[in-house]
Amino acid sequence: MQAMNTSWFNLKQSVTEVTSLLCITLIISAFLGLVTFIGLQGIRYFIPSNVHLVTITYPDRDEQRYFQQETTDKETLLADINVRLVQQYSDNPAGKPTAQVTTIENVIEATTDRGERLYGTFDRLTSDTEEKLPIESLDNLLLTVNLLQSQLHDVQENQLMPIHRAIAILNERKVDRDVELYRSLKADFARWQAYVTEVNRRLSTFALVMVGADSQPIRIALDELDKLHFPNDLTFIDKIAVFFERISNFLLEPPKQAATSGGVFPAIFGTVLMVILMAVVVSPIGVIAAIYLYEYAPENKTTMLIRIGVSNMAAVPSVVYGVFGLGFFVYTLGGSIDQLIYAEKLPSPTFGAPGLLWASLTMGLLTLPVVIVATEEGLSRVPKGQRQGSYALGATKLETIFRVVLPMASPGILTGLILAVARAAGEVAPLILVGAVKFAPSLPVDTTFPFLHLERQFMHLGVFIYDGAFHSQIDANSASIMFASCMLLIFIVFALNITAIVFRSKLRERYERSLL
Amino acid sequence: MNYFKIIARMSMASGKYPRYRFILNNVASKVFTFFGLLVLVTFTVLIIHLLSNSFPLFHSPKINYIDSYQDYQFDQYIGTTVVAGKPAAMGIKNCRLLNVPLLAGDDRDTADAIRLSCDKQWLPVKQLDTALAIASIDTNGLIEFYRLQVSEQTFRLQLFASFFLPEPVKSRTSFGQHSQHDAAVWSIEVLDQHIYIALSTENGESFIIQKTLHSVEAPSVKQAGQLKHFFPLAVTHYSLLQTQSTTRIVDSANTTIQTFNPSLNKSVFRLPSARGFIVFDETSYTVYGLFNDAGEFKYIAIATHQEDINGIPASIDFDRQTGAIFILTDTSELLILNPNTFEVVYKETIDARGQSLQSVGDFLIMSGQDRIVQYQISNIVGVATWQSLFSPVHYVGYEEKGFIWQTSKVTAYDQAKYNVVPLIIGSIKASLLALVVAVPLAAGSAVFTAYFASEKTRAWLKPGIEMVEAMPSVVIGFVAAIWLAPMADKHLIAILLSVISLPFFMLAGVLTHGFWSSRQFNFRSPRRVLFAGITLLLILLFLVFNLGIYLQQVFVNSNATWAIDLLATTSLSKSAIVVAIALGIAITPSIYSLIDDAINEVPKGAILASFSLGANEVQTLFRVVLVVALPGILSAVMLGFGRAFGETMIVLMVTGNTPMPSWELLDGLRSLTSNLAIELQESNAGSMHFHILFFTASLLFFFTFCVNSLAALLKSRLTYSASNEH
Amino acid sequence: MLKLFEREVIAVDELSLSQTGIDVRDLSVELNDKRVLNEINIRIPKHKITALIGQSGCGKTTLLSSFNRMNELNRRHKTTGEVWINERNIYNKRENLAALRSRVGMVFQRPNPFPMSIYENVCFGLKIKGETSRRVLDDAVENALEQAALWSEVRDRLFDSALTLSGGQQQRLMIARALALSPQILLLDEPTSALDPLTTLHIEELINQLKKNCTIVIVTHNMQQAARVSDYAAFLHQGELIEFADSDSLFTLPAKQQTEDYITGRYG
Repeated sequence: MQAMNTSWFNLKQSVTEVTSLLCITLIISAFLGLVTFIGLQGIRYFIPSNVHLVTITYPDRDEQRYFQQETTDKETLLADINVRLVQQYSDNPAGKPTAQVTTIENVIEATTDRGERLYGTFDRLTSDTEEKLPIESLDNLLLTVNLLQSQLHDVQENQLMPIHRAIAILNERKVDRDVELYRSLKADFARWQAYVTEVNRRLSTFALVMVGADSQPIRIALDELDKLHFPNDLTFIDKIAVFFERISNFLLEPPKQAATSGGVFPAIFGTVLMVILMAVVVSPIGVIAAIYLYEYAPENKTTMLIRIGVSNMAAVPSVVYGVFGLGFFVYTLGGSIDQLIYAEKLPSPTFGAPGLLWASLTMGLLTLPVVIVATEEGLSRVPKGQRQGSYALGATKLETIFRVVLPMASPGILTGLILAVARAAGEVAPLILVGAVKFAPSLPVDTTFPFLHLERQFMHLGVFIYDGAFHSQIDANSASIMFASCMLLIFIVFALNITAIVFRSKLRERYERSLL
Repeated sequence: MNYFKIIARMSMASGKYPRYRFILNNVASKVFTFFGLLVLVTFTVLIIHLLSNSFPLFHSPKINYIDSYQDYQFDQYIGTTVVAGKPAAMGIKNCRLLNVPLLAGDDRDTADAIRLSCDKQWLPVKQLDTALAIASIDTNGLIEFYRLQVSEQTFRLQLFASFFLPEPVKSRTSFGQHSQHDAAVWSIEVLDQHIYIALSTENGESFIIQKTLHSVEAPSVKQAGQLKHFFPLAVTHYSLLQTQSTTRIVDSANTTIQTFNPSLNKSVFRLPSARGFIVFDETSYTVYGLFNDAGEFKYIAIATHQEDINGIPASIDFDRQTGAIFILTDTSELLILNPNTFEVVYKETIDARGQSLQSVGDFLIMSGQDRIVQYQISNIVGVATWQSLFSPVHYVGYEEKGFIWQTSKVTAYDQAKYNVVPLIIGSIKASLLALVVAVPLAAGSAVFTAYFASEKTRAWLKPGIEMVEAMPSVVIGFVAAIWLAPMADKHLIAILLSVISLPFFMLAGVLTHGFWSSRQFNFRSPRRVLFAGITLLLILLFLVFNLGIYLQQVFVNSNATWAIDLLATTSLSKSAIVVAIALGIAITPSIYSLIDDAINEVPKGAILASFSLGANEVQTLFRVVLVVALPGILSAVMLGFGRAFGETMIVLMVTGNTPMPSWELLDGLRSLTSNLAIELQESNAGSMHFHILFFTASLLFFFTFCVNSLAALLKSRLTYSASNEH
Repeated sequence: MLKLFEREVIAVDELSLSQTGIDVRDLSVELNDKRVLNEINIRIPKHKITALIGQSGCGKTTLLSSFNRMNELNRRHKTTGEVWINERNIYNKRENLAALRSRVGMVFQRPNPFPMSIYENVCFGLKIKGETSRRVLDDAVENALEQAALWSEVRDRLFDSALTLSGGQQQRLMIARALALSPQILLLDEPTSALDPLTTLHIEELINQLKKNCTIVIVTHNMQQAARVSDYAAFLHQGELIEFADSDSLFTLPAKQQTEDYITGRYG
């Protein structure tokens, strides 16, 4: 009996232990797996990979040949293609197509200014004088093209523009078309215009001609050529260089080709700007409100209720803030501003439409409870004795707060602010409603007055990712730019959180020391 | 502290306290109070804004008398339309089409006119939309149809159809200018690319002429006996004919589709959607709606309401924006009906004397022989009722009652359906399923870190797991949508196999318990155990998964019926299961963190006492630790529920966003939150849709607010009992 | 010295095995890599009250806890030597800890009731052992509370939360909770240190009643208390057993200088 009991207990013990261990293992694996998966998928966007020539022979129609760039090796790619073919053609009466993957050397990967990536084997280079040049002359040709382009630019800026302006002025003054000045200007204009046309024609003769997978020639004008690689012939050092080049492109360029290539600079910029504006609004208000609640508000039931209310506001679904932002900030406030100040532009709205300002305010409201709660917690951790000591020395309440309480509570407040910023950076739902868009034609900051355009819509990393999954029909393979963006977003949010954790532990140390 | 030194020096040096310090102090206290109140006011504004945009739904509409106009005695009243943003009555007088602005006040005589041919007889044409149309018949029997086109200031007529009246109508009727006071009653209507003309001649015969627009086909004619009431119905090109003895629905070839017994004889009106009709009886009314019974169209009763209506309903129209139905009786009682449930939401006797009624923008125009009466409608969104938002409704076009959320109209005849039940079910389903995934995982892990593992282990494991709480949900949603959902569809059997294998892994763990809980792998500070466990688990899952892929291949190749059936009928990709996994994983860290705290706050004394009474580790866990921590655990689960309920991005990205009132696991769903994200920007401010969306936002707000408050209350009770111990 | 209760004592050296409740042989304990007890040898007499006295940190509580192996809850512990209870060395590999602890009851310095009802608290141990019969449990609860002299005070509110009791009542409840398992040995770790003098007296009286049925070991800081209630006393100093004798001899004529210093308050 006793023995049975014991073994029964042991079984229970081990079941409990194993279950709890399995749970924590599952959680950790899930999140490690998630981060690793995103990392692996995202890094593919930067790693230069080999280009394979895929040939698929169909039993009932012409064979299909195309280049495919893959980080995997030939065999894996072939297996993947076969799996796909089996699925697609399992019912085909004519039989299954066969696939073949070869890797050929000297494949060119040419990226155009528009972000298009073209593959092919080198055929020839053309210039204004020669029809068939070898690849070695590319650098020379590019130099010439650059020279021509700068000439063109020069002519346009220094010759055509002044003439154009002068003609415009004459037109404005309603000068007769037959006046000598007018005619000479016209002649000049025509002369320079002809020159430009000529240069443009010359420029268009400079081209790279490649042979595509389907043996058709691909012609790329050299002035449109952005980058040129031989992906299958890169040395290790070349690969590293390409890797870093792509990282910098990702961080500094706008998206191209319907957000499948290029970079995410506007999204990073928009996110950062929105978060900064939000922090500017929320930090003083939140901190001062918390000081009021903790130091000034009377200690009664009402204050307690307010405190509970404020901390509960932090758990209200973020989309509700978005609804409020759209209904109140955009339609009510923005609508009123438009009627008061921008009445001449109506009915097209200026501030009465979703934009950067309203997004920042909405996010500020969303993170306000976080800041207030964190600040209050920071304030409550300052020992009572410190305050009493300060009062005993004749300090006023304000001096006590500013010279004693706030310096001690500052790491706590900072922690709260960082957490608020992290939350704002990762939050997407309200932004969809109040101003973030998948593609904004211009940045909210530029060189025209008033430089910071608060009413403009902006891009946001989270919205960029959301849109990638929700609207664009993309699969995991072509989504590597999205994965790279996920990676960046996770990095930003985690970095902020780790900073907050470090601050918090510093804070604890400080109190433990001050209490000793 | 050196602050004290500074302060001390300050007060010493001055000898006397400088005044400015106190002024500053007072000013500062005002500033602090101001900002504190500012925040309060902001949050109050938030709540009030949400509520004030939801409340109009629950106030009934209001009708205000504006004015009545008797100055213009039209020979033929055509209707009222909007010219330059103002309602204007159109009518024919002395061969001129007059446009009379209906303005309360003095400047009424800006009447504008188009000269019409005096040789023709002019008649109004009914259309479903607000644009007006008129028809003319000349002595040769040529009938022409004009649309009235109104731009900013001017209006003109545009011909859009014409044909000769066919025999035998032409020979039996006299028309043209000279017959305009004769007894022939014309009713002309354009519906659904068809022109319908119902005509009762002076000698008691009735004809119905039907003509397809933009077609060379000759118009069809049918004889209808003594016609009392006629109207065409949409979609099917059927018409309803009511004579003294019968009420029938006929198709374009005059074949009777459905006959109603004579009880259907008080008065019959078509629904705004033209896909059904309302039949009024003495004390009740019944609504019939079109229903496609496997290719066979018929009209079935969808709603019956008891209502004491004063008088006989004489005229009907509907609000173009909300679909609200206005009915005016011959004793001047105005009824407003909800467009989906057909409940009466407003009933009032007005000064209209049984005239015909028209709804134009915000105005109700009652027109009669001698005068036009103008009323203004406010808060028309108040036609929404509790029933229409929360109860099952029998919608037109459906066989039985159901809950439907469908805000965009596919055709002009559709009525938007705002039943929020599918959304609420979607939200609850998603969050409950997420809890099913998250709570066991979180509780198991919390028991591990807070109870089994050493303090040192907890010190690094807990912040680690808590940090992933900050993982942006859009990232989890992205991976679930881009990778998990397609994979779940493709490798269904592999996924099922992996889930089934988890208990076996546990069994394996139990069997090898002795080995890994030995000294070498210290279970309590389990860096090594965890590392080994994670590696092992991932390897095993990978193997099982690949086995699943292989098995699926084998089953499909060997044509195993059950496997093929399973694969054909089960699509996980847009189902609630994938949402449950993604959402569950997203909320696990926060639930974990709270449960861990709850367990950790259990007084150490109680645990010691339990051991000293002979309880072993498991008994102490289940009978003391978990019992004491229960309020905290419940509070954590509730907070997790609140979080899942309010989560937007994952549900938005992973589900198909189909608003279905179904609890099935394999059905898709649309939550309150994702619905807001999808629809709010598209809805017009001030429309019914907008107000209902705000109402759902308020629901979300108050639900999560209550759940969180309740959770906080539970938690505070826990801390109370724990602190009371000393 | 004032004697509160009459007692008959046998000199410690003359204890026979059958008169021994706990026989400790060469017991050493290390906690967190620090040696807390060093080669302790002591025979604790059956059905008597033995007091363990000594400075803070001298190992009294550790010694007490080694009688029901509670030390092992500490993550890093190492015990060598033997403790014989009922002719069994409890430090054998096959010892059933749960059974041992239900035979050896323990009451802690601070009352630590479970946040459950009084009734649940008392019958917790029995339920753990698998007792489900309501009648048995009811009887056991009544008995235990009677023994702990608490029955008359709580009989009407057995199902109230144990946290509503006063400190003294809570401590007696802790004793009742231990007694419900009818232990052979009752270990008391400064049971009165958190209580006022009158309540302390109450509990001391109770302890004296209990020795009829159990062997009692009590750790105390209070010399008067030790002298008042104990039949035997052991003085520990820095993990060593300095002196063990019947209380009369130890408190009146200590054999060792260290003991005398401690008792007379020269240190400690």
